[in-house]
Amino acid sequence: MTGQDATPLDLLAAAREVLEDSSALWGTSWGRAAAFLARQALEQAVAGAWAPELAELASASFADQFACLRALVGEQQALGARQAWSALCVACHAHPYELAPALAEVTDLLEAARNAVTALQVARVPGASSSGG
Amino acid sequence: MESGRGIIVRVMEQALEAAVLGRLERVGLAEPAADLLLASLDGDKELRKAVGGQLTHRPKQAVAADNGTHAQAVRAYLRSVTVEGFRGIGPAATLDLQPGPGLTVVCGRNGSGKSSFAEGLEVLLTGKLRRWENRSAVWRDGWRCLHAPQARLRAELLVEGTSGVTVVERSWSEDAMALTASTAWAQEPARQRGTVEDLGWAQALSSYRPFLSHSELESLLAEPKNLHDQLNALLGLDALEAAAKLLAGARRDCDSQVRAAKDLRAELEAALGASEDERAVSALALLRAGTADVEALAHLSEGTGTAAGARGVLTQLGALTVPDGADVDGAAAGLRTAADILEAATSAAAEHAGSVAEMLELALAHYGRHGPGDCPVCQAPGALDGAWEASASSRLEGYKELGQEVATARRSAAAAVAAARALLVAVPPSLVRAGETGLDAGPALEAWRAWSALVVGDGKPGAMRALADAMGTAYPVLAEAVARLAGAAGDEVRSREGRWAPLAERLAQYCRATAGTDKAKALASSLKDAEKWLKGANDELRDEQVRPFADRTVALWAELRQESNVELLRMRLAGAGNHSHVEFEVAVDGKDAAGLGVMSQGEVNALALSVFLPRATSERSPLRFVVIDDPVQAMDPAKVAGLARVLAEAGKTRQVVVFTHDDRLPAAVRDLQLPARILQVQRRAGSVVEVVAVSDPVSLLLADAARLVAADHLSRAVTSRVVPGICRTALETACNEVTRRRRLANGSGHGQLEEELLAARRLLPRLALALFDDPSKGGEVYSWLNARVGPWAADAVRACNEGAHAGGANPANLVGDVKRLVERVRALAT
Repeated sequence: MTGQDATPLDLLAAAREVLEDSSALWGTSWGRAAAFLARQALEQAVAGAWAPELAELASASFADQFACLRALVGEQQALGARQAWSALCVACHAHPYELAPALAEVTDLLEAARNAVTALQVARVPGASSSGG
Repeated sequence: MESGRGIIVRVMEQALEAAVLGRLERVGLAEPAADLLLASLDGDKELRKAVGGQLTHRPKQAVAADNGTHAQAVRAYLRSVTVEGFRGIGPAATLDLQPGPGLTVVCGRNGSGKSSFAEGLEVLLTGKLRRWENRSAVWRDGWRCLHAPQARLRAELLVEGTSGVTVVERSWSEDAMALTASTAWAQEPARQRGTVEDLGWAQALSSYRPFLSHSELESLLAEPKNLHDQLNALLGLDALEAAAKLLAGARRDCDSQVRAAKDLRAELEAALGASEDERAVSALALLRAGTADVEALAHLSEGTGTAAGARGVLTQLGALTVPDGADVDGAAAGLRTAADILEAATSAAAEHAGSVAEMLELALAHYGRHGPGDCPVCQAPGALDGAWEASASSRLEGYKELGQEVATARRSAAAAVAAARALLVAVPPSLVRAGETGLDAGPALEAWRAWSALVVGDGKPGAMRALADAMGTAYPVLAEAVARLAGAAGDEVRSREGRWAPLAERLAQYCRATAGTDKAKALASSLKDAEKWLKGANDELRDEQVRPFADRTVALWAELRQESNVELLRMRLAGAGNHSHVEFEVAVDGKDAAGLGVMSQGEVNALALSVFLPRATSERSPLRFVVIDDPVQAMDPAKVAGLARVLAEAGKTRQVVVFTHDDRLPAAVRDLQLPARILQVQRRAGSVVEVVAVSDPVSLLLADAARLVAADHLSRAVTSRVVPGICRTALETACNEVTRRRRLANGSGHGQLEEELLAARRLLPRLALALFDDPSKGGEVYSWLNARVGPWAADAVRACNEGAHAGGANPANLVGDVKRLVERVRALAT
């Protein structure tokens, strides 16, 4: 797995590995590191989900892309994906007076991201490549 | 090591005793009352002694209390706390602390395991968790961590004055489910392993409780009586209430002694009044005479003294006897015999012989004087001659003998009559008064009167026989009537004694009871004086003891209140018994207000902390550490700054360990550049809990990023996606820090600052805040960086933002650039 050829599921697996690695390598950044990986997995899955005729959507802002998801995966899944993404975005920033996210929170976020990615992949136009960008 | 408890109690007693003695000098109390008062302050045993007359006569000079010089001998600091298989902590995790004064802030997200350290320490030292005491089993039973087979708590402490480490450990067997089913030991340096109690901290752990959980913080002021009682016990003031109780109890004992005698007397009077016994009458008279003559009553109760009145008559009647029957029979027989003899002796022949003898005697006397001659009676010539004289003398002798017999008979007759008369005794006085007794004495009296009135007669045989006959008739009547009366009287006497005996016993009982009454009355009065004095002194003594403590609370609140408009004027203990409470006098915007109702929850928490800290950091406590779990919840940012100052101040003389769930307190500590160690607890997979020092979070983040870049085994796919994000986090954190410091240095309000920081959610607005103090100028950041710092800086910011989404080109260069940029941004703040 090099820089750009990791699939969303690869990234999610990597995120899970970060959480499970209790060595000193990650310092206090393991939670955010996992969140970064998961958010990118989710963003990559959304960007890759558009049918060829809608491919230009992939260059829109992620906020816009998530707003359009309903058409692709239905109301319920779209909402779940959007919520997972916003929560990951919060976890990916340093907020004043807040500590880095806790294990349980990040675990939940990864689970939500995995559900969203899976839903997006199922909804993908058949024949399109599963690897992103 | 001397027991901590002994020291504390002694010192507290001294402080209180000094106050009591000081007031005694100013507000006098009479001698026995003062002694009783001091004895009551020393406890039940001493008061009993004093009441019993063994006054100790303690010196009533105030002795200067040597405040805490002994207590300072023991000063314990925490060196580490290790928790395993307890609450949120699985495999053993250790919180290393610097043993000695200083502030340590341990932060960690909820669920990170930080509270498990605080609670573990409490359970370790006290064997229980106060937070759980009123919780259901659902709470209490879930204390084991399923990620570790065994549960164990361990703390290392340094105790000043001993060289080496004191270790306390508590563990549970694998199947133990109850929190209380633990075994614990303590090991002091150069000592045999003992129990936790051997450390002698039990009293201090309770009185100066060094643990404060968030739930306690919220409940500390919720029950004013509890808080009152805790402070009361802490200051030794419960001794005042205990003394008052003891005095009242002793007085009640005296009162009830007096009352018992009084009750006894009332009952006794009623019982005596209902008795016809003249002893009862006398006793009643004595009792009613006012000052009861106990000695005379005692005599009565013993039944001593002569019986008088009806009881005397009865007693005599009971013993009444008639002349002996045999004597009566003998007398009667004597009368008859003497009568017969007399009769025989005084027959006609005998009389003739008597008169002849008299005549012969006269004739012989005549012959003697005149010699022989004619008979002077019959005139026979020469009848009187020698022959006649011889014959006459001889005949006279014969007649004389006969005469003596008669005389004897007369004498014996007289004797027999005398004997009979002697038996005819007069009616005894008791029988005359027998009517007073209510007994039917008529027949006996009549019989006796008849008996005594029997006619003795002229002493002639006829009269004698008549007397004998009369006696024989009257005697059986007399004997029977008197015997009957005596029997009845005896019965009555016994019956009366039977009724008197219990009265006598009660009288004796009363005599005994009343003997100590005067003393008890005097004692009760002295005890009452002592009570009164104590009651009057109570407020002053309490205020005096509480004041130093309350002053610290007021000062702490002044520091903690920050932007609050509630001012704490005074704290005092007030009320008594179930109404006792801690009174907080507050002013809102300078105007007196009613109690705590005016405070927000955050303010109440801050006030609770102001009450907690002086207690936990009391000079008298051997425990030089305090552990506070999450005091920040519900506190606004301004108060967090005050809290940080207060805690840092406390950290100058105490080891203060504060656990907190977010970064506000650490941020405040960093902003104010207070001396403190900041640790972060993080819980990893499998309940592995780590403690990391995070004094400078920006450096820590950059170090994390650098470590990841250098890690060979991580794929580029991971590092290129993670490192820019971490770098961005570092940059954002640095921006927040810079903004806060500058704003706070300019005197900005905490509230507005927090709002603005929270509103700027992304890197560019944060940089804009940090660089231009204006979050809306995010669009100018790149050009400013290009122009003022260099293109590399703008590139680095861009790389952070883009890389956080899509991965970046060269994470290694990025870390170095962000580090440089952070330094430039930070330089702006100073």
